[in-house]
Amino acid sequence: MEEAIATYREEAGELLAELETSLLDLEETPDDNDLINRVFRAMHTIKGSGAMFGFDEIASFTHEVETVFDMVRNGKMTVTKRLLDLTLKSRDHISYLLSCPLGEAVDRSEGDEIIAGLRQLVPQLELPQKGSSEIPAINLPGLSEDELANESTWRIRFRPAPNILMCGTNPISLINELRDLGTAHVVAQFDEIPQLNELVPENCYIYWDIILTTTRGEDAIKDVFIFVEDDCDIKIELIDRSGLIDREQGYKKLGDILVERGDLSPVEMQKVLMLQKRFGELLVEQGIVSPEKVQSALVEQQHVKGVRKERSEAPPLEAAASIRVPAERLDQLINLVGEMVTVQAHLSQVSMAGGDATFIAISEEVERLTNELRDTALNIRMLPIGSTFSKFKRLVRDLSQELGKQIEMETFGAETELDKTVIEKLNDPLVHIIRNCIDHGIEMPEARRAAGKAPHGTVYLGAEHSGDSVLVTIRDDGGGLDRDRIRAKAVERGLLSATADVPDKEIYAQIFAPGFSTAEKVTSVSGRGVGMDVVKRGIDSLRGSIGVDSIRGSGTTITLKIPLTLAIIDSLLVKIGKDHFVLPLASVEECVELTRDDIKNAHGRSLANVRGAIIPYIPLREHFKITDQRPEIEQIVIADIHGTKVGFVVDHVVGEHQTVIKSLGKMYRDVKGVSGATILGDGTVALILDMGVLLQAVEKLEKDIM
Amino acid sequence: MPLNSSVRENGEIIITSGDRLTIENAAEFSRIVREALEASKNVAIEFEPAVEIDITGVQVLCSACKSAAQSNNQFSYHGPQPQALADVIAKSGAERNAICKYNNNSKCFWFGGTK
Amino acid sequence: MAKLIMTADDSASVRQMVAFTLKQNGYDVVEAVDGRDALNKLNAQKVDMLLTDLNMPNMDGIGLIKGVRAGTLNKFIPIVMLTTESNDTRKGEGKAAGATGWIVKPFKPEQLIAVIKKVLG
Repeated sequence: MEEAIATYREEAGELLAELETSLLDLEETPDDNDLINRVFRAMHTIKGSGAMFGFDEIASFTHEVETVFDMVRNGKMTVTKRLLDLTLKSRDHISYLLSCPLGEAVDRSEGDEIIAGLRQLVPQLELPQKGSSEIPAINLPGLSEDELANESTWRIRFRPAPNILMCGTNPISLINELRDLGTAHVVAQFDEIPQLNELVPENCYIYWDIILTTTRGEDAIKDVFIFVEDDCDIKIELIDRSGLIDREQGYKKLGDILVERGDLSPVEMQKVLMLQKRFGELLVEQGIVSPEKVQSALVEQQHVKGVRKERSEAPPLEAAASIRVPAERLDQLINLVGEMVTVQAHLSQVSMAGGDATFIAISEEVERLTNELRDTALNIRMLPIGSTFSKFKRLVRDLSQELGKQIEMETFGAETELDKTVIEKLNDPLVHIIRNCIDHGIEMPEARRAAGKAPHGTVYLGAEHSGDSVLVTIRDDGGGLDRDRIRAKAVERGLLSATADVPDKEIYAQIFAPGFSTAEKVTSVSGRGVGMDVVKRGIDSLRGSIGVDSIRGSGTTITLKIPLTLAIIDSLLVKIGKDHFVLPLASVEECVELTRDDIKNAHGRSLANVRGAIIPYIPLREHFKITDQRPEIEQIVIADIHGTKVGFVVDHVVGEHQTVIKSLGKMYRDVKGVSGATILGDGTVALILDMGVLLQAVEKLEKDIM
Repeated sequence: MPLNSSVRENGEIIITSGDRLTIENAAEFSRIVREALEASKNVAIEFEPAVEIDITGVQVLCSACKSAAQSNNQFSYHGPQPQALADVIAKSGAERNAICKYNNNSKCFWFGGTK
Repeated sequence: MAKLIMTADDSASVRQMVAFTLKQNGYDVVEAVDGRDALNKLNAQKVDMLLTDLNMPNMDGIGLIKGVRAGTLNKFIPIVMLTTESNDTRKGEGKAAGATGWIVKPFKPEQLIAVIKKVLG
């Protein structure tokens, strides 16, 4: 910043020199607009920049002179000898102000005299009383708001100007700003989007209904739209307020909301009410109001009801905020919800096939409720991961003492929530990893000192959310992994080829191979080569993945990526022959077609050319020995498995599917490549494929053949 | 594959999304979809998994869906929806679970309903 | 990837201050000394946003905004103009030419960043 101030002094000096020349020239040609503009611009820059760097005196003084020249520029005044005299004096005064050290008192007498003189030239001019530097640019959030204002709910209709997108405004960021103010429900309206032949693709046709509950006032909402308020249609109405004593928990009727919004006339409302059916359905049926508008009004109704309910239910501070429930009851609940999701899928299927509008409407309502029920039920089982963290602190303390090392443990993200069963299953893998960190990772105090590190080592354990997964990170500041030794060992054991060019991450991943250990001596803690493969198995069973990164001399980081829940997953439903299979959607990247010609052109190898990339695929039909008629065109589902792209060939891709995971019976526990099963809407069973294991099985098979 | 269209043997036109369906190429996207719907009864989009999509992309999809419904054509997509579409739908409050009168009172499988 | 912002201003000190503030907040910066310079650079390089002064020699801010909106490479980027409170009409002209928003001089670094976050989303 100091630099910029110095530059400003220099720059202002140059501008003043230029100003002097322009003023002297102006004396000879007082009508030269170019010169007048140049004077104005010089003053303008001196003022604007001056205020920014704290030269407040210069800013407020120059502002006065600039104002006069603005009038000259606009033809409201003419250039006179007296004006030029005063302006030249101003130049000298600015030069003096510029030489004063920043922040110290200055002699204003000269400046005041000049300003008085200038005012005489334009007596009718209303010169502002204050300097420019006091006008804030825009209200910063949190500065000017009355934070103590009551929580209010607002109805906002935001109808952007058609050209808003072309002018660089992204309406979604404005909506996000509204979301940041409190709780918001947003409904985009599509009814004004025309057909393609009338569409101006860069225009904005979508408009928005937003219901926002916030403690910030109306000004905060208006500030969001500050750049667009002049050319967009923005309606902001207060619809609910916590300050009002409101005993009734419900909210306005749907019809009243639509009438208030201007989407429906009172007469029409009365007409429809006479018919005694569900109001929203009737409005849509009769074509009076579009379904989107009704949906939007329903959102408002739900939102306000929710807010009011929360308010009335907000417990007095001393009342218990939670209750204890036996874990098996929760498990039972999840099971029932799982059944419910399955039945609901069946219901949807039957209702759609039947085509009865009333039936479809009921089925949709059930679908919505089921989804909500599912989310709520899964949420109940979420626990903060921190409960396990504290156990590990003890482990670290005991082990490090045993080994004569000084190790501390730091944790972060203890509040991150994960499904209860996932947390339980994470325990063993974490114990093994942390043991390894302590035993192999962190060096003895002497060795650390010799390496120029603090004698005590640190193990960091943390968790954070990432999409629908949780990342658990275990990091130590120890010696790091010995890449070459791991490689040598892996080559010795035939896990890696001696010559292949393998990325570091893949080499490090070898430590998870069964029986792998590079330790020279077996300690009581680790080194027998059991352990890390337990980690791998444990994480696999959670459908998670492991990443290892290490810098020799400064430590190792192990990252576990774990899905939030085990009970219900998003998946891709596919079909081979008459059988359905389910692939976890998290690793699916895309689907491409595989024709007979493609197969012929590959000369017997299972390789597909996808936009120039050669991707190996596994024909599941052969793998599962399904023998009936192969379709003309098959589909390859391409998945990313730990960074490797692999295709799985199926007959048809049916679509996305909410899969409730059922474990397989004891008899099938050892079947490779199948991690569970699910029941489809029509009652049939589909197997859930474990793509990682399938890939390994096929790789192994190929190695054996070779 | 860049934003483009190609005709299948069965007459279906496949439009590949390229890496962006944003305001920069909204005009081109709109033109390709319009021409495809004029030439075929059956038009489908194949999205790049990492395609970028903004409001204009959403508008073209909706407009195309309305146009196709009007003339009883099929306008659909192959494969999973890209993350960007899900994101822009969620962020802009564009989810639609109900039937759409502009889509012959069918469910909207673009913005929330299932295919 | 860090977003790239162009600052167009004939005042070197303002450019320095803006560039300094932006870089501190993780943005990349390209500078232009007037409207002509800015337009030439914008025809050759894709940026994520333009911050422009309105009063500049060799094509002023309004001309620059019109030029960018009529161009191709950066046609749809957000444009924020730096204005002073004395020229509200210029603000209107800028909006009409296609500006996304504005910031009133003088401004503090945190105000600048608030406006940038607002338009860049």
